[in-house]
Amino acid sequence: MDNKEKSMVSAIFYLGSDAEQTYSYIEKACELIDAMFEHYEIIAVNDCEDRSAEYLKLRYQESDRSAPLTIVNMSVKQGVECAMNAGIDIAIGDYLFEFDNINSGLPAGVIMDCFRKSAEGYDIVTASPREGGTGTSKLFYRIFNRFSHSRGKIGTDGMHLLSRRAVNRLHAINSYIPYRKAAYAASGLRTATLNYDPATKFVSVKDDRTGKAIDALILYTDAAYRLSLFISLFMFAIAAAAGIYTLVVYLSLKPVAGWTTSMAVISAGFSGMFLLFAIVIKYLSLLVNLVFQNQKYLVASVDKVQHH
Amino acid sequence: MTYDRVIIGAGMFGLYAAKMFGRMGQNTVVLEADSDAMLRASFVNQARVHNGYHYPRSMATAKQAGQYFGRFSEEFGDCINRSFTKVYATSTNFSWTNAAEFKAFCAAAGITCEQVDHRKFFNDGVVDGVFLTEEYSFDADLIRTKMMRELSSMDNVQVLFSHRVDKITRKNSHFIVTACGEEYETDFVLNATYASANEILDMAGFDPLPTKYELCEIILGEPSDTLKPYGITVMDGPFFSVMPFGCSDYHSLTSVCFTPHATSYDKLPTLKCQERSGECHPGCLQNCDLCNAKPKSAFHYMHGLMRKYLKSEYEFNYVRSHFALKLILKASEIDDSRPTVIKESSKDPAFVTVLSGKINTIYDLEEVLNG
Repeated sequence: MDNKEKSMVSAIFYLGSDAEQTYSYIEKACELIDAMFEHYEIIAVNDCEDRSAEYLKLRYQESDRSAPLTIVNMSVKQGVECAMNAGIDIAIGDYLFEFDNINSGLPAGVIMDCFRKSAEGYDIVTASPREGGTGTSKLFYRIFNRFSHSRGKIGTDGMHLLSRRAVNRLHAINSYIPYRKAAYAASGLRTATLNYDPATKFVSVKDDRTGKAIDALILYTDAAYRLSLFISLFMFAIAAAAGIYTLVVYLSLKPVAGWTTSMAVISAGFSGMFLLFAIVIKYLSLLVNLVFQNQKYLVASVDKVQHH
Repeated sequence: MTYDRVIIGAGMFGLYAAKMFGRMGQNTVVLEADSDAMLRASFVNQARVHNGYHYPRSMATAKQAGQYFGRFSEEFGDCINRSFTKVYATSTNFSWTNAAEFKAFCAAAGITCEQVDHRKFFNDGVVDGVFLTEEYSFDADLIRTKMMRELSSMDNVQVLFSHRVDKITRKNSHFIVTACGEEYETDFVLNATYASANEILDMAGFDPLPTKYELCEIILGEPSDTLKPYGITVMDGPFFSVMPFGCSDYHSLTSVCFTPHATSYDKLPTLKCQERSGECHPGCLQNCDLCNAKPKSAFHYMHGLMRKYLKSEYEFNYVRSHFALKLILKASEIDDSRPTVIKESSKDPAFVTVLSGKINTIYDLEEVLNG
């Protein structure tokens, strides 16, 4: 008797640079998904890793898998977030498995555990390694979680499982998702995290981490707001202190000292103003991206590998 | 036996050519491998009477389809379903077009296009434009009956079923076409076999057409009451179409990604399923719809795609699948055009191949038949 799950699932992979390792990871994941689900599709996002994409295509055609494989070829390298967004958009499954990192050391049972957890009423399930991630990423997650008002906390992860409802909700909230895990945490849906011991060493995906971290802190936390508020108050304090000092100088009839104070206030004021401008400009650039940028990513082509 | 015209293939193009030749008083024979007419690609397709909407990247194809739409709808009016509203939508993501471009394209092509609110049909965020258009569905069974009735009333036209052509030779100013042990001598051969076009060209010793082949599945199903009065197509890219299948009670469901099950880029179609089928091989293509080696249905994927886009009340219940081999000109992949190809491999005696992906471009045949 066939005890496979009837739900249609999509497995989305971000292709790595090592063609053989990438294929082996996808093949292993598909083997597990194949054993669990009656109907599934595989989506491979090729973020300018053409060798891996070609190798996958060739090996997949030779294999006896019946699930359709879709390869989304990005026009230029756009990073894991953009690329995975493209993969999510083309997926048709009721549930979406996101595999961003082929070096996540994901043990075999975790995929099914995530699906079972989802069945308990969680729209977003994250598999997170107990060990892994760099010191800077840990610091970032600490700052993020400290200043974020989201229900869920974010951290290093090896895989996400999303329900179709979650995908629809995320698209309804934002037309563009610059940082998925922060968007998942901020979605307001029930999220769960399953911790696992990596089967192999966890290695993070190389990406524009600094830019992504700044965007995420501004968009999904109030850290930037608090920082600008602090600077404003600090500048106010300096201005107030300078005012008092000027008053004191004035009263003590030493006008030469007043000129020095004025210069100090002016230079401090301008410094603070420029710092605030920097934050405001960053906000504005993000707002422009969110509101006006219709093209979220550039896709060169979509290849379908068929079986019969 | 000597004939003025020998037509190979009793699909829509073959039958229509026979009718035209018959009217011209020419002694014509149609040789068909299957046991009846229009059993392959003429029947196994979306049954769309194209009005041009489907080709927003090829104005030439759109205009050509638009020109023939009215003529076909009039001539085959009793074989056409006009009782539904045709909805076209442009997908938010992965589309080669968008709402503004589609609207401008329709205006330029001079075809009806009224933009409406997406919320009646589609889930939020999946499409950026929804348009009410004018397009019909033809009924291949009714067309077959009509065409065969007309041809049977012509004394100078013969349609021979289960007559697979197995040899074509040239003798002076004539071709000798052999089928079922009989020889048919003529100075004009029309190759109207569509997916077998290169098989026939190869047999006659002519150069093949630069094509690729796709083994396609058309799913027929029962539409929900909400879906019944509509035909819905999302374009232009890896999307789907669900629309009435002729005058039947069924809708057809197809998708760009999941309808093709296998592709062959060889001169003659080479497919893995041929090994399983036994009878079918690259030089002798059988009817995929009757084959035991048919692929497993991709219904779950097509249905999944449809569900992603359409509101839940637009439902479709699987009934059965049909399969046919489609032929696509390699050059048409960039602009998605489907021009009618007319290739004259030999002038005297004449050997002409005609193929088209749209049924209402049969009128392109006039260029050959009247020439």
